Amino acid sequence: MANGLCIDLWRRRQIEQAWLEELAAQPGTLIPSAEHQAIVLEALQEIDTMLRCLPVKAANAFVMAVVCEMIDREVAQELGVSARMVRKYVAQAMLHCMRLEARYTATEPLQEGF
Amino acid sequence: MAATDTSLQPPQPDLPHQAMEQAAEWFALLRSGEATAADREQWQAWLNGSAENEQAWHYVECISKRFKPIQSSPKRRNAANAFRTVNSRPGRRRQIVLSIAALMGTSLFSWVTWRHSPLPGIAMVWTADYRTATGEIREIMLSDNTRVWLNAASAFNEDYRNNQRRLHLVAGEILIQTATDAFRPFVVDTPQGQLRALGTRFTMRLGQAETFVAVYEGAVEVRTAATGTTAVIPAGQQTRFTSTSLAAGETADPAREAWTRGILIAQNIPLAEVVQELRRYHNGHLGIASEVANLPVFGSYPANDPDRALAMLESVMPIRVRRTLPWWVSIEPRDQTTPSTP
Repeated sequence: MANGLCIDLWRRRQIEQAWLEELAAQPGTLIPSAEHQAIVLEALQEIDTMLRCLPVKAANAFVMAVVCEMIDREVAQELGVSARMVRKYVAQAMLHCMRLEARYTATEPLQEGF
Repeated sequence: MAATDTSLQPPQPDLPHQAMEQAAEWFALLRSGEATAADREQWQAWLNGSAENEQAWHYVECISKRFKPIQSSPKRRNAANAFRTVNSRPGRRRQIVLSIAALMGTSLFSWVTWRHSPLPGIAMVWTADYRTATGEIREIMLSDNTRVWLNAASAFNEDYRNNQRRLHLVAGEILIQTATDAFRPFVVDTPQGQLRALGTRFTMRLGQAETFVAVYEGAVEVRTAATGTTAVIPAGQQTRFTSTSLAAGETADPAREAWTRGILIAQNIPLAEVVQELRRYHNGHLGIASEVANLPVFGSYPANDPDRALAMLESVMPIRVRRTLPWWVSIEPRDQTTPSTP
């Protein structure tokens, strides 16, 4: 999925590291299976690859809104921005992801105007 | 075996811009927590309105599906936190600079032909709105959905207003794909002059005392800073200009555009991991001997051209890339006992 993007192995390592640290910081009652952890980590890496070309705030807003299913008001509070800004970030990030998706799946060629 | 050059294919055209943008906006509204029943009805009407809208919404659903495994996890909050932690980590760029700087003089980078302009002033670059470090390449989408790819050690400032869209290229090289905007002209400034986009896709590079521009789609109009000389550069042409003069157009070099597609950057990463990534683009078997699996790799490689990447790796590491059959490739230690012919 990485045509046109940088595959930054360092970044992948960083995400994996942060994920493991997060898990380690949890009070150790419910530990998800290794397979489940791997699935979540892989999904996170994919999401990061899709979003890493966006400004940091937009990427964070999108992840909170879509992954954690937080409403705009909640995300706004977390990030210290307006709910309107959150809506804009989410739309911007989603459009970016859509364009990536469109690029790597077979589509009918359509002319884009100047 | 000739390496196939996949880096010169034209970009996949997008679906009609409007439908995609609208779909993204609908998505943002519907999940905001503020959508009303009337909103949902309007969304349904939009969706049924045209095949393009339906197609655009299909992509929204594809993306949403990708989040399912993580949404349904009790650990999703942790995942989001981990993501934010990484995004807030300082110092990563400096690490990249340290490990790649040593390699700048080698032929490892010749296929990308980076040429560095003397930085106009470190402060200008460090405070620029968007910048990349040595060895880093980024793709950025601006607020009007214009896409800008920043090559390594490059920087630009964004100056978007109600009546204009303007970028100031401060250092290095950028590739721009402008988004349509009927009301705001798109302009890029450099110390040598100004460039107005009359169309979509072009690169600009800041040289010692000149700016270089190559156009791939559409056209741009160049105006030199001091003399106001203008020229229109159409797609397929490139030129360079100083503040006083403008060179005649010549054929554009497609390789200048190639660096935006599929670059793998490694800083002290085990060879086995690099091979793992190359496998995603390699048809057939790509094996690696355990003796060389942990050799550290540094540098940038064409990810979507594994044959070329392997050739580059072979030239700088003590490995041999063996092809018993065209599609059966194995990486082994280079045989040290073979006597070199005098």
